[in-house]
Amino acid sequence: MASTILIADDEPHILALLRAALRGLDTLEASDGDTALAMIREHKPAVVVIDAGMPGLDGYEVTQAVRADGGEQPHILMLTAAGRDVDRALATQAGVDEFITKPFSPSALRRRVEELASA
Amino acid sequence: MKAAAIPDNETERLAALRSYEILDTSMSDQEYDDLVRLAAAICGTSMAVINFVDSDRQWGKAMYGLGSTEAPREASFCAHTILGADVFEVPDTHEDERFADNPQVTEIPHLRFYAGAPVVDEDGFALGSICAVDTVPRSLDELQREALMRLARQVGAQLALRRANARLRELDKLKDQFVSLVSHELRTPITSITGFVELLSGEQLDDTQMEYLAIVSLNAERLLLLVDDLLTLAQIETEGMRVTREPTDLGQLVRRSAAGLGPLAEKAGLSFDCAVPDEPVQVVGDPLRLAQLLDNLVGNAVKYTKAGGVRVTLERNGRSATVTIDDDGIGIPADEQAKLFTRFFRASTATDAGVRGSGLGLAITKAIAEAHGGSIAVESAVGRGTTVRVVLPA
Repeated sequence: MASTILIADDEPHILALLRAALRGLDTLEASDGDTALAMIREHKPAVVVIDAGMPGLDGYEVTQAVRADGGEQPHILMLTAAGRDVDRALATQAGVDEFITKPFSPSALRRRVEELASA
Repeated sequence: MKAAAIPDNETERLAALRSYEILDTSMSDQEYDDLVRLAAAICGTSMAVINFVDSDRQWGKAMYGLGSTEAPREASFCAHTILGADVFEVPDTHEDERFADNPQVTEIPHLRFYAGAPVVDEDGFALGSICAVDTVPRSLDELQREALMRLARQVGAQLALRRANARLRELDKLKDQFVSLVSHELRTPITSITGFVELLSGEQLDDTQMEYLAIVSLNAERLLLLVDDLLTLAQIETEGMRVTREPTDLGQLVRRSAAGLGPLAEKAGLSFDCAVPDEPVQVVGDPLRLAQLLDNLVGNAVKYTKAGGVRVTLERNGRSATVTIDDDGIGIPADEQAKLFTRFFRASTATDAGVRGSGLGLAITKAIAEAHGGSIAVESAVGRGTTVRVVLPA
């Protein structure tokens, strides 16, 4: 059974890039944190690729809420603009599993997501 | 007791005083201390003070021979001084109905003599005074009065410097925040460009299309390097270079850097040699930053060498590890070598050769070396080549 992947970014062009990178995989999309959280709760994706900074709930807050829900947990990859230590400490605390620093290689991201989705 | 009148421009005067952010600051500023000591010495008094006249009090920034820092404004002698343009002098407070029952006269510090010169700022606001005071009656001669006025002007000059410094610091902080914001915001559009270029390269393209795409890709990379350098530099300026401390094999990092840049050298027709000991060379540091340091230095060697070669060696000597990057490049003039690690500085040989660069790489490289407790040294001769040595504690 194919696992679902949720991608969430408020930047339409980054969302388009994520969509293109993961073409052919079973993906869901959200362009803000509140929608992302609702979709994660409803569809239980195996992998979440989420931007750190979004209006409304940001990537950290969505992660925190998902982790607080308990139950079956997705693997959460966070997109960050700069590999700053502060951001990482915050995100790790919130429950983020891995980071992808912008700019990222779409093919490398696809390999990693496929690995996680089939695990 | 007769309190001093309130100046006509009191609202503006108080706003000016606040703008210096000097009230309730430390009382151990050497510059102000020197001035009160001079005032006492010149006027021959046992005490001297620099007071600022606030809305309801006077506050002492510097004192000599005196303890208290504050007095109510009604009892302030200096509140009288700021009303005039010249020295305000009270030869004997006991003989002056305005001050005979003033608590500063009847109680500690028992002021008998007062002479104050108004401290006027660059916009003409009388903010306070520098005054020489004593417990016995006195009077100043013409030279002493003039000297006290000159000291008051020095206090005004100190205030101007203080405000100018604060503004510069503020501007510098804004500049760093700006650079950091811009660099941060630039990464998102660059992500779109490099991401879609990569996806497009996987499509069926003809040679011309591939060539164009390679140019876009190369320029996006260049833009990203510049943004990264600016961000790193802004970070160094605001919070200092921050490095993680983890056991790291320097040998592996050197090999990796050589593997990345060696092919570039060979493509440019240069020889490229890398000598690294077989056993690990352990250092404690930040592997990402150390890789950045190596890439910068090896990259420079390749970039600025037109013929001949580049040699990278790693040696361990006792408690230190030395990376040497030696090239047959264009070299750096002797009189420019000291400035080499200054940000935005580029050697004339580099600009003359038309090689592009931001002038940020070496400033960052030096900061990385120093953050690891290491050092970096350059030897170079124009037309002969450059040798850079980085020594890190191992």
